[in-house]
Amino acid sequence: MNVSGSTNQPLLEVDNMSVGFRAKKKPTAQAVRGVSYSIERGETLAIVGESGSGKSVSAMAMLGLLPSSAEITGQVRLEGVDLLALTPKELRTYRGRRIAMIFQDPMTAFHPAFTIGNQIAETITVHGLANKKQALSRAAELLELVGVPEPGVRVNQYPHEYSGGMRQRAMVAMAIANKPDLLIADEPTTALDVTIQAQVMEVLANIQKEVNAALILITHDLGVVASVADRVQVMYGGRIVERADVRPLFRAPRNPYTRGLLTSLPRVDGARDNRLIPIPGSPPSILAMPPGCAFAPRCSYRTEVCDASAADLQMVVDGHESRCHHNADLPEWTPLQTGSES
Amino acid sequence: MGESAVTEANSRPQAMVEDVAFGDKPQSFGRQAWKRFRSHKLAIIGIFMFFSMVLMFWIGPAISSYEFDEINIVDRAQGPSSEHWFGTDDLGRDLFVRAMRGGQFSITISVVTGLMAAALGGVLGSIAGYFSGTVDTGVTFLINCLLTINSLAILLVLGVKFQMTPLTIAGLIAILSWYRGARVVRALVMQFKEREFVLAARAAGASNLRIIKGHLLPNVAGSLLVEATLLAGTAIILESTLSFLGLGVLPPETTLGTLINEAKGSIDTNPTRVLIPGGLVTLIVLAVNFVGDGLRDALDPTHELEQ
Amino acid sequence: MSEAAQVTPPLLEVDNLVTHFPIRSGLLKRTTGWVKAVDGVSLSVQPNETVGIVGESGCGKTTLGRTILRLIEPTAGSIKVRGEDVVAASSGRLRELRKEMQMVFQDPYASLNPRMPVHDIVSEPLRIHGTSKNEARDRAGEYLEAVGLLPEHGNRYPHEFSGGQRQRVGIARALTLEPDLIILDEPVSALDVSIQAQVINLLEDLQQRFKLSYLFIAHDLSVVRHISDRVVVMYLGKVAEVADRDELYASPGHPYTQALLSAVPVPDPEIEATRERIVLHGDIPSPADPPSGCCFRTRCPIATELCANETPALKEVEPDHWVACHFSSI
Repeated sequence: MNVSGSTNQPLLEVDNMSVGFRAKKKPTAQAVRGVSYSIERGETLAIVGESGSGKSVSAMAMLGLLPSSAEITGQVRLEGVDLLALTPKELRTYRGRRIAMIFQDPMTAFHPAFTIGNQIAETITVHGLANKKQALSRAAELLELVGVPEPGVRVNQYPHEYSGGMRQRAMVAMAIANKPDLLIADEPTTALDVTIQAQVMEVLANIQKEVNAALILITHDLGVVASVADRVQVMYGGRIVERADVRPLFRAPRNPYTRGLLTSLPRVDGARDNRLIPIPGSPPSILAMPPGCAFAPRCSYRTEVCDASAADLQMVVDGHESRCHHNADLPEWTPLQTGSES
Repeated sequence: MGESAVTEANSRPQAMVEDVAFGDKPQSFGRQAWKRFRSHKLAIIGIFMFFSMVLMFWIGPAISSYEFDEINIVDRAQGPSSEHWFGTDDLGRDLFVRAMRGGQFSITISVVTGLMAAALGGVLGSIAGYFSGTVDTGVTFLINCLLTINSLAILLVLGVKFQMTPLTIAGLIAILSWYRGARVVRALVMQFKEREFVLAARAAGASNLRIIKGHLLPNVAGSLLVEATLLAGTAIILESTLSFLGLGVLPPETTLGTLINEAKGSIDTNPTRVLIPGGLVTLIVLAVNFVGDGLRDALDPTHELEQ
Repeated sequence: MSEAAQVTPPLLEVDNLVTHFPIRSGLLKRTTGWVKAVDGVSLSVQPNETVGIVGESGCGKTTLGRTILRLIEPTAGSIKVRGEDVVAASSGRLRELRKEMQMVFQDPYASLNPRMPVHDIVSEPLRIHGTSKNEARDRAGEYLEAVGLLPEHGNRYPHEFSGGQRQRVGIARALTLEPDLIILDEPVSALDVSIQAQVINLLEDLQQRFKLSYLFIAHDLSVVRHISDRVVVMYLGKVAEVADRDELYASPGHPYTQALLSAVPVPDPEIEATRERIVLHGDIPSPADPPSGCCFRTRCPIATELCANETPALKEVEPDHWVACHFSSI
């Protein structure tokens, strides 16, 4: 999967990771089922999926942020060190230092009773990288870097005094405080207005280039993916169903699910003004996954083999993988396919 | 993509119908509620305890050969025996029959108080929460007044001044404690009335009465019931306290609290005289609270999901 | 009346509508200010037309929708349905008028009473207006079918349905009174992408089948483009721009509309690579304390002193294309 073809070890390798949730009197919920991928420094990997696809759970799992009912198997190696094998104490030296996370809701991610500056400073001092005073002045610099106006004043303000967009920028500042190697952003702009989203995505992309971090962007918004990602992997039913560089993926999606997502989307540029072609049905419940291909019940190319077994993630063309029994006989993709005139 | 695929993906809304896959067969609300109640172990224990006690209190006197006010000086102040199961008091009255008689009144007082206070609190709380403005200011003022009042002190004063019957005790406790249910209901109603399903009902032209009855009360009923059971528990304890201080029902009538009061002199010589009525009070309060918990879960159709 | 009837009268006509909320503070709860949620909005909806209302949070679009149904009392201005004044209507008359206008809400979880089976939810509007229980139940079944559910699903409680199915229930409820206008407040924004398209297509089908007019309130410019005939852009309680869908998206006249459109990423990396994005600076001001003059001037790339002093009026820059900007670029 090493796109650049270099022989160096990738920054992060996720190897056959599965996450299940145990519950009393209920079958174990399989949220993530055998996911493998890797990411390099400076690269942006988008993980796309709808609710229940396992996209967020897989990220939380590698940071040890899931409740104790979660059973995690597989390996997550950061430069060769398996994060899943670390003790909670060891893992804490990684979190916020080498791996940082940006959450969807900045209001709940900050503690309401401490100033933003204090909270950013704490992520620095907790790893022993500076004393309190240095950390506070660094916090102000970071706020300036992410475009918070009047950082000298803002650093002493509380989360409720920030607007939503500013809080999200402050969270970006907190995430990059220790120059992490890996940034994980889980729906970072979903709660924001579109003009604010544009600001935050711009900041995030610039910062990532500046600290040369790897960025895992978890989102459902294909527009955001198209504008910032280098590579994309699409998840459905806890599995990766398609993976490619961003341009080939949007130019010629290979998996029926990805195609369905694209034909479902109305476009602001008017490229799909006729009737939308939705995917029928609903995503499967993680408590009752179809036995074969998870997408089969909603798929228009479904045949018997799809119900019998799940396909492997196969290389279709160079660097473009898809998990589908019909990889070979799927029709050509017509980019702006629309439904019949309504 | 082939033509057929387009039309196939586009065949709606019939295609949607099959997606609705439900596990079990639909059941009526009553059946589902009963199922949820049954799955609540403590509630089942509670209801079993409660009805065993009701049965015992009402049937017990019938199988005993004594009357609750039958004085028999010869047998006075005895411990438990095969003749007098719980012993006798200072006047030789059979304590088993008296405990059953007291239990009848204590249970009646607690249930009646719980229901009255919940009804009063539910109505006033939902009106205050729903209409806000002057009505709310008024009800909130009343609630705050009651909050500052020591119910026991008021009951003591009234107890000294007037003769109490079990019903007046229940009524007085209800009047002094409805505010607890009202506070809960008011807060919940204020929260629920902004929900979109209430707006939808208003948009359809629903009257205020319909919204309160059809949408708000069903959603606050569970919490109100729990509050009612807590109130029932408090009522029984208040009544016992009152009787213990000698201000309860008029002798020879008795309640569990009166029995404890009468036994306080013999606590060293015959502790069962205190322990039995005291234990019964505890069991009633526990049973009522367990049932309340179960009812709250049973009345919440979403409960199973949130486990 | 007979003269006016010759031109088709608009189904809904909103004129200079104002909805302000008092800010109360202090011990005596005295009014210390006003949140200008809707501040002089005029618009109209023709029969069988879909008018989209877009804007970001705080622009007043949700308040506008609720005020039109008088779920919130307007502060000033007029709302007319087929020429009849909604604002002045008595409570009895309002109940009748509400049969003509119904609403679908954003949150498919909060908009259905969790304690009511779906049959009762869908038939409640009919029951309120005096339909017998059995008939209301039959009709509810029909409308459940019309939205792609089965009548027997009516025995279920809302939590047993998925988000998309619940939204269908909410739509069925809005249909039962056979309204002419449905106000849709962010009806698909809480749904997954693949489900959104199902609901959008359903809304289009229902519009044709029942000859409905829609007032479609949303923040998603792509969805609004897809479904609307005409689009109203709102900013801080005011209308920034109104035009036919194609005209507005092809040649936006207001700098805010231009920025808004350029901020939406397109799911096509090749287009994204070459697209110029206007990134607005600063945050949306509070509607409790809007800027003087043009309320967009604090974030506007072309604002001058004039914008601070004078509020721009909504001007017709092209036929049927209205822009509230001193320097409209058309």
